[in-house]
Amino acid sequence: MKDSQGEPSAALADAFKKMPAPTPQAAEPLCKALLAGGKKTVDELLARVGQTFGDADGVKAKYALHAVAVYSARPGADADRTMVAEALASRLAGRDSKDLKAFIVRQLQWCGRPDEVPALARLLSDEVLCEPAAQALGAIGDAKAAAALAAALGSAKGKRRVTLITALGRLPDASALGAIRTAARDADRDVRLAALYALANAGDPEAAGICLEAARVKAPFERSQATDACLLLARRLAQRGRRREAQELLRRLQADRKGDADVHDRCAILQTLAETVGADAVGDVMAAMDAKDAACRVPAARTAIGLARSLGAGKADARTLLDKAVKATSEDAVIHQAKALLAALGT
Amino acid sequence: MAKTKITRRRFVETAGAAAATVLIVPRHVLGGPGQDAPSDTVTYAVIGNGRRRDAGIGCLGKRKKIAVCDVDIKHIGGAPDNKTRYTDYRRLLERKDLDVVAIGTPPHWHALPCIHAAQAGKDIFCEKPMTKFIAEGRAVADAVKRHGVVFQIGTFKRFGNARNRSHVENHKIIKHGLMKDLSGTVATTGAKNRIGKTALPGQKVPGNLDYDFWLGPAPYKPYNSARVHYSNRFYWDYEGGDLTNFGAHSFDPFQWSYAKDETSPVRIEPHATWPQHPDAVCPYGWVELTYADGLKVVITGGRGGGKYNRPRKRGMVSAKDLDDEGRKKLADLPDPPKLVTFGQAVRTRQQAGGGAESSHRVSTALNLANIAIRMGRTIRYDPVKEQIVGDEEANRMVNIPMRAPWHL
Repeated sequence: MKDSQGEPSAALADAFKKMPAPTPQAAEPLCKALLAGGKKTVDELLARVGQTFGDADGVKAKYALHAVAVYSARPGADADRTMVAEALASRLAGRDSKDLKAFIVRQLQWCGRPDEVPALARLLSDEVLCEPAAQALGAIGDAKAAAALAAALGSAKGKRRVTLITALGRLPDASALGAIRTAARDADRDVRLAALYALANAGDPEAAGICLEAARVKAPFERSQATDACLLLARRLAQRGRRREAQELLRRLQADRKGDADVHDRCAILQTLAETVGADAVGDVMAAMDAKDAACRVPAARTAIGLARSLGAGKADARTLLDKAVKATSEDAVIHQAKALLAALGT
Repeated sequence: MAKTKITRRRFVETAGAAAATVLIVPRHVLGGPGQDAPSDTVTYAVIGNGRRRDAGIGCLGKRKKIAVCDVDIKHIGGAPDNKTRYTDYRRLLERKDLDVVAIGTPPHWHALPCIHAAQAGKDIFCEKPMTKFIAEGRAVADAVKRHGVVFQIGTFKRFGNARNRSHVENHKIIKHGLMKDLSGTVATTGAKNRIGKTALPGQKVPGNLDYDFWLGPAPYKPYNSARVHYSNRFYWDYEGGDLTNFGAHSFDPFQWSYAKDETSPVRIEPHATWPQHPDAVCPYGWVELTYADGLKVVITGGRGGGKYNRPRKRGMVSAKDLDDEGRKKLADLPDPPKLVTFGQAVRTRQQAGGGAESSHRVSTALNLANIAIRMGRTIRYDPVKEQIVGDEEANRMVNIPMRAPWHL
């Protein structure tokens, strides 16, 4: 190993010699020794990683740094985690290569806490580091991380914009919704699709019209993604208690999906209705089980099982659904489930 | 002859009178209630035309391959023409004449093509392991269920177990709770244990490969030939080593035999070298996965961690393990539903025997094993919430953020 900074400390030398160990139990004393040296040792380890990054010699240093990151975040070790995460984050402000910074960010993806959000947020303006930083923020996953992503969106262009909107799809922030609604009509397909997903997952009640409009486009892949956004939005609206709006959205989508080629979309709408509005979907499911097309009828029987289960005992609709499901399909598994549920319902 | 739009229904009605012309029609147009669909040719395309291609697609029955898709143009015989050769599977999915996709991509590229195929109304044959991380599997299973398409995983030993009386008896006893405590019941299996290289220098990307698309949702790392085309198996960003690669073949039939298709282990204890490298898969000794009813499944890799030597009362359960009342109940129980082959499922719209939900649970168990190995500690899992319990760092591996523009 290159040695421009002198011999490694005893704890580092021991770790480099013995890692990886044959078991986690054998590695534990090595990790404890590294952590006992505090920030000074972690900084030394980071320096070694930096010196040897990209070299075959650097493997041991990477093992040791990764071990420290993972071990420090074990349950009940808050002090260790704080020390290591702070040391990693403070290194990001330095002049290391982007490859090394990306490596450090990936360690923070596992052990980083909300306190590391500001250090990660500063990387969101970098064309190369925006993506790993956004992923780390997505893993930290709290309101601070969401706010950082939202704050960075305003000035972002090109690929960074797609990255940030996609990250906000996973981790919604209300302050970004206005910008994302605009992005849903962007000239760039990746931006549009990221925006539709973000609005849907946020359960944005103002997004229904946007998603439905997008679901009417002719381009098949975009149409399928926008359809999925409608379904996701309906589920999120229902989860937030906005069942009437969820149902309205699904009914409007249903009206747009009457063609022969739309059978899989009709299955999805039916399944989502059953999930979101429960008893109000019984009529739709019963009708679907009368379909001549097995591509509609057989999945509808499966939907009926799920709906009956959620309606529960004492509900006449549940028994009616199950009785019909048994007749609507020859699928052994569905018939078994229906009969078992009927028995459980006491019929 | 005048052009007429031929639907499958019309084909069935006129087949007896018509001549011998073979018609390929969309499979979603089928016969009426109580009638099996007519035997006919199903069209399919391959997404990921490298080593595996469509190796397992024989289970589809009568079929015609209409296109291939790969981000390496060497695998598709030249530049794309978007008729028989594609480099972007999203364009391929737009074809109205396509019934089934056979997905032979690396595992980090399994979930999204499966989900998008379901959203496009296509049936899916997907190579194992089903997914790279747990949340992907849930998303695939939900998409398949939601859109009413058929899914079959590329491993088939469960079909054999489902025809074996010992396994059927084992399944029935456990499924119907005739033995509530399965402590001491241990199933063991081995998987190979090849490892990745821990230092991969960057190399020039070959002109035939779209490396950015190959990476897809995986984090960006400089190209090295070891990362792609088979040896991708040994890098955490794309797969979980042989534990997930070969482990799927034995875990899948176990899961059926022990009636665990709708649940997951609750405790996962690893014995492996540690730390694992952040990029490359490293050796492991064994992992013990315990279910809520006490059943244990042990996966052994044989490298490090010592030998598994914990007490074991039995491998499978049988009528001999029950009392008289239990044996009487067993005799009265119906056999489990027959597993439907992929070919039958596509034609009748039933769920295939190696379906998305059970495959997700297999992949979950194997991914949990790898998470425990990478964390170097025992982890606990909630099979209903599908979250790791009490270990926030480990739980971050359940749903890993994807590289934009990709997302679940």
